[in-house]
Amino acid sequence: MKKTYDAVIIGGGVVGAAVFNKLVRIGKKIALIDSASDVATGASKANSGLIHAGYDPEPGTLKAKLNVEGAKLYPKICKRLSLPLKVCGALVVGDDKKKVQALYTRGIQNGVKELYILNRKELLKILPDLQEHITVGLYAKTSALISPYLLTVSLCEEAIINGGELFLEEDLESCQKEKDIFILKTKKGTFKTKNIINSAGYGYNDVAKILGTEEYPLEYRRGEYFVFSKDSTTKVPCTLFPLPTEKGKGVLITPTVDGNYLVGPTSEKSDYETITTENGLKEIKEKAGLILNKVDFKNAIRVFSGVRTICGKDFIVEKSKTNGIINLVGICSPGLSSAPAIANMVAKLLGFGTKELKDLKKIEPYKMLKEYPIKEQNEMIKKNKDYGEIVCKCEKITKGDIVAVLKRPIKIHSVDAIKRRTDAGMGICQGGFCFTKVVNIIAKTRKMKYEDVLKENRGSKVAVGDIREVNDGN
Amino acid sequence: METDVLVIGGGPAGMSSALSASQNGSKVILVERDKVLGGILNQCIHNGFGLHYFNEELTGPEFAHRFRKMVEKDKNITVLTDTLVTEIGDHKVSVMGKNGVFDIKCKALIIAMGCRERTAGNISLNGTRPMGILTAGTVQKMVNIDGKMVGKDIVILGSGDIGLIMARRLTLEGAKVHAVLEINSTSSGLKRNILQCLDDFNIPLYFNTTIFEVVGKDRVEGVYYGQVDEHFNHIENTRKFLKCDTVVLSVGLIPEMQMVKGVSINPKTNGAFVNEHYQTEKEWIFSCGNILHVHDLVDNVALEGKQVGLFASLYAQKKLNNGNLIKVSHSADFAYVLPYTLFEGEEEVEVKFRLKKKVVKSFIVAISQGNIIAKKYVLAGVPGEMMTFKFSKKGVKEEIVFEVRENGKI
Amino acid sequence: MEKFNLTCIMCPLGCSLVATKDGDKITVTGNNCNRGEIFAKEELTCPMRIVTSSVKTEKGVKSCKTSKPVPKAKIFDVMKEIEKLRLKDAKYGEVVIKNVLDTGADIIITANE
Repeated sequence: MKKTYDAVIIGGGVVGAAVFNKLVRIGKKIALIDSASDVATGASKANSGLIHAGYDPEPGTLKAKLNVEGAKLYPKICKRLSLPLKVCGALVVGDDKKKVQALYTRGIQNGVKELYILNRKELLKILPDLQEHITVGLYAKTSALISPYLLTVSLCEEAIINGGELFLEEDLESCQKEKDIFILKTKKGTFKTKNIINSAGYGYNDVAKILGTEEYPLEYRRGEYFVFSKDSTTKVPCTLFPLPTEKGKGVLITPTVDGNYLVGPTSEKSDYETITTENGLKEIKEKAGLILNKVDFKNAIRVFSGVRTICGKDFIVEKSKTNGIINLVGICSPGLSSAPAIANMVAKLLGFGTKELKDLKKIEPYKMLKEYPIKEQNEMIKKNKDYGEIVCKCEKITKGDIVAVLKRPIKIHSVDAIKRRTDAGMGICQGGFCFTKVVNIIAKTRKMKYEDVLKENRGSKVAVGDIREVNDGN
Repeated sequence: METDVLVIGGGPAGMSSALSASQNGSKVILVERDKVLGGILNQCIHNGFGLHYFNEELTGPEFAHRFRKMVEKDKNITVLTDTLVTEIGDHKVSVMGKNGVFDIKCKALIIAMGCRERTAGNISLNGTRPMGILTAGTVQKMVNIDGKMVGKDIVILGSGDIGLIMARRLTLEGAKVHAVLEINSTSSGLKRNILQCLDDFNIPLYFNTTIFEVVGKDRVEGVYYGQVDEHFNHIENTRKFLKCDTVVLSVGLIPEMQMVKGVSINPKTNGAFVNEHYQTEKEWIFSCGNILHVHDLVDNVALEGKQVGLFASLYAQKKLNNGNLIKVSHSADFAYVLPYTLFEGEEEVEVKFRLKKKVVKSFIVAISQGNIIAKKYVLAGVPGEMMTFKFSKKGVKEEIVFEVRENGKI
Repeated sequence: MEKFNLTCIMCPLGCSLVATKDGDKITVTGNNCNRGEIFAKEELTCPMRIVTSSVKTEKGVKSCKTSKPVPKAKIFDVMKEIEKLRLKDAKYGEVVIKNVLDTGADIIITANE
């Protein structure tokens, strides 16, 4: 008889990954399934990469509680996963002292520490290039930068080496309940489980329909961004926000943990479509220009957009009244900041408690050749000639780095999955020089055909076949 | 390691300058990040190279092969392939690669790293970002080096030479190229390429036209395209849909200057400001090839490399004499005139320039202190073609201004 | 009588040529020099092109070319001949097809390795 899981999680975004990680660490048998070819391919790959301090959500909401709790958990989690967490602080700037004061008060109510109100003189010390009309700001010292995809990947990997199971490219087809056991069927197989967690993000309702659990009215908000190169002259030392409005936290300017800069997001009501638009990008340029005198849009190397799934004013983290399934709905911003706290809450809702096992295995840190001391680099190159082969010249990533990533617990076969884990293709040439090199390495290491390598998900094969073998052209 | 002249980049500019530096008596190290010398030439399998340099029509790999053989034979040149320069310091560079991670000291440095391609992000290409949006160079690698087809139904954005060449390549290899879209009102590509790459295969070229939006979730499913006004704003009522699975971007080249810190850059070329000896503001750093200014012909790149190799070699041997500076400037008819400063002296000098507009039956004149010191007749000049002008600067001490005198009148 | 509009590619001037074909007789107007006339006549009678592509080998594709221009009308036929080849390996300068389709041109490997 096939095993019965304690829980199956549907959706491998950062929230699903955090829940996966937590439940495995508690000692439960857990599976995580996702239809994509990698984890973190939805909103978790396309956001600002910020662990918010927690001054923004309305006091008393789940958002406020989970944000502050989650943010506090991050330093320990990142240390455990050897993930960089760069506490660089955030500044909310504007010309309305009352609004800044209100934000400060809100932060204190939410239990946020180290908040300071700064005047223009103090602000200019941090940012000499501030627009003239900006007179006041709230400084949140604990705001931090993180790689949202490396976090999601690491959480999953740690779960996997401790007994969790990850199933990618799974299409959910049906769900039945026999006595207390759910039987989930996908196109590829069957999962028996005592519990189900729906963390499908933007796909929540599609999954809920199959599971027979509550559906909710969802709203999608598209956020477009510019990415600047590391050489950008817009070198902000911390995350910069305008004063928040009803539409959200506004267009921010922030460094990323990798050393690039992000400007965005917009907040446009949309379908679930991660498009960029002329108007959206224009809006970013205008709004960023309201904060800083000069924003270096000339050094933009990429534009992208992500979609936040919103359900009313707050997160929904609940046990379904009809069948006991855990519904995680509308985990928009500050979802990344809240993820570890949501995981704890889910563990409690399932009656598992939050106490973790001892002697759990640790994952290998994500460390590229260039990050080792030079002496060690030379030893690595001598031992393994793959480390002597440059693949991505912008980010200085070698073949050895990429092969090592392909041997990690999640079996990936896409160029974007490699990019998220190694930064190959993230630099100023945006993969212009290394795209085909990465494809060749994936094909060889995975022993698959070149044309079956993916850019991201199924349906994104990098080639259609050999030359002259696609003969409907003539 | 230590050397007289260090060359970064094993493409035509790097190989040519390394050979020339060596032939002029210097010890040379040539650093190339790829496995073989040749640079982008290796993926340019089309013909049209070498007519000026070798008096013979060659393909890119053949042109590269000839230079590679010469470099390999030269005992004064040490070639480090699979080696990436990670930092340029003071008279030294740091490298990583198959020989390890170490520093190389040098007396003179030639930067010959060429260009990278402008990307979808650089031009803020809107819509989705699925598989199928690729730069022409990436397509070239996939088709010519890996032997794989990127797609079946192609739209090419940009009508520069690489875009035109890829239109033909993809057609011959079995795809249908539906259109080449050019946002400007003229193509910067060579006429020969428009004829032999587009007209030969009935591929339409639309001017003042660009992609408004890319459609498709995992794979490109099509593009909305249409016309633009003179400020490149989209004219929405010209919007049309074109079904395709691949968008090839041929929207310009950017010199790879990001590693070279502390030298000023000409915004017109995106390459360094150099003097008559092709020295950047840091006099031990010389520049040549596409990293200095984008060339149309590899032959000119090789010739420039030859020139610069000599200067760098002389510098390394402390024999390069710079005289008093003469400033070079130009009228609005030019995009740039290079080098940007000359030295007082007897010898002839050749300047390279690019026009901003097409001129016919005109004179290019060099003026100093109000007097025409040299003139050159051009039957026709277009922005798409780099031109040269050789003249004597004997006795000239003040700024030289270049102007165009049209209709044969001086 | 047939009229053809051509842009001369012999120099940057890019003359707009009108070539009129009357039986075997071709007259060219719009040219500024005789290179334009030669160009237009060749384009109308038997335009020739060098074909470049890649040969499939067990060690991957190797770039190749025709050793001299072949009639434009035969480009796709030449491509078919190249496609027929499945070689073990091929070296720089090697002739892999002699006198392809009786054009007098050979297919030569050009790959720099």
